[in-house]
Amino acid sequence: MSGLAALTRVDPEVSRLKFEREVKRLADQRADLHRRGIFLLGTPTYPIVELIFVPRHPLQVAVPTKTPNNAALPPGSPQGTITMAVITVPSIAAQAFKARFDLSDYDLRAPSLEFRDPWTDALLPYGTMLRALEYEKDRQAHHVLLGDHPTTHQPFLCMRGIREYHEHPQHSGDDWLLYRNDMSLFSMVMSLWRVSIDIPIPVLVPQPGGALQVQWNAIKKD
Amino acid sequence: MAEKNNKIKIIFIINGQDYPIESNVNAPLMEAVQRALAESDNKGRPPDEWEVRDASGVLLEKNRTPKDLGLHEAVRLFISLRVGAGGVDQS
Repeated sequence: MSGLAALTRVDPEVSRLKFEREVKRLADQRADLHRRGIFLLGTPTYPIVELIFVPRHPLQVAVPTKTPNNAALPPGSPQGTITMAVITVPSIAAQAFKARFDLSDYDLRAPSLEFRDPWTDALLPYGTMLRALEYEKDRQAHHVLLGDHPTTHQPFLCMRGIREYHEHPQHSGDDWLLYRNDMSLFSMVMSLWRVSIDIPIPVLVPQPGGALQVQWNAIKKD
Repeated sequence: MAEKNNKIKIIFIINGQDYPIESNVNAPLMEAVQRALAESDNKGRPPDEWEVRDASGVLLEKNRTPKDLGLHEAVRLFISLRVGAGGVDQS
């Protein structure tokens, strides 16, 4: 059970009606969701909605290339400096994931979001997950998938509209009730797509000693 | 651009619902956005708190016209509240 579980505060019938409205909107926009690699799973049963997100950006691999001695390099670069070229591997992308939204107590509380393995349904450990990046002109790229929520101790999406954001002690001044009339499950699904599928690109970067690191670069798309 | 009398139909999707709006191709997109927000009863926030993206997720400038933006008849555009995020900056 989620660490954010609490006593039910909304009449379940009211919450159920709002849940059905949100599910209908997702179903109505199924074609637009499919075009983005988002698939609604089965027939959602209150209060859970599950969707599969399929990444599309192919993996990039940084490959060291020895710079020719006569190449123009920035002043101060040592002779024999190694530069990196990036190649794209079209057949490999990040792993698909299952987004599990819990709309209990909706819409007095924001939907809760968990990231699960689509094969086993287990919660995904942060170390094996993709990274979600938001890009804004002023702030540039920033990570919005964080590893350890102070209450659930699970990875969480630190974005407006998500329960784990609004019930995080650092965001107690940004109450969900300020937004609930202007946001919907559909808009949150689209935001999740943007930060997890559309913006981040995985880049495999070799490290000294033969290790490999996955770096997540952001497409500068505000 | 299939247009009649310089007008095209733009389908705005707001919170998962379609709002078809007829727009002059030479008028700023903002004008059609404001009508779509009014029709969807989203009147509580200034229009600049909302953003418009095309099917590819590209942010559209609302002060440009449909003609400038190359929008075509029955194009689907997504209006959403600017998200706002916490998170940590990328090092």
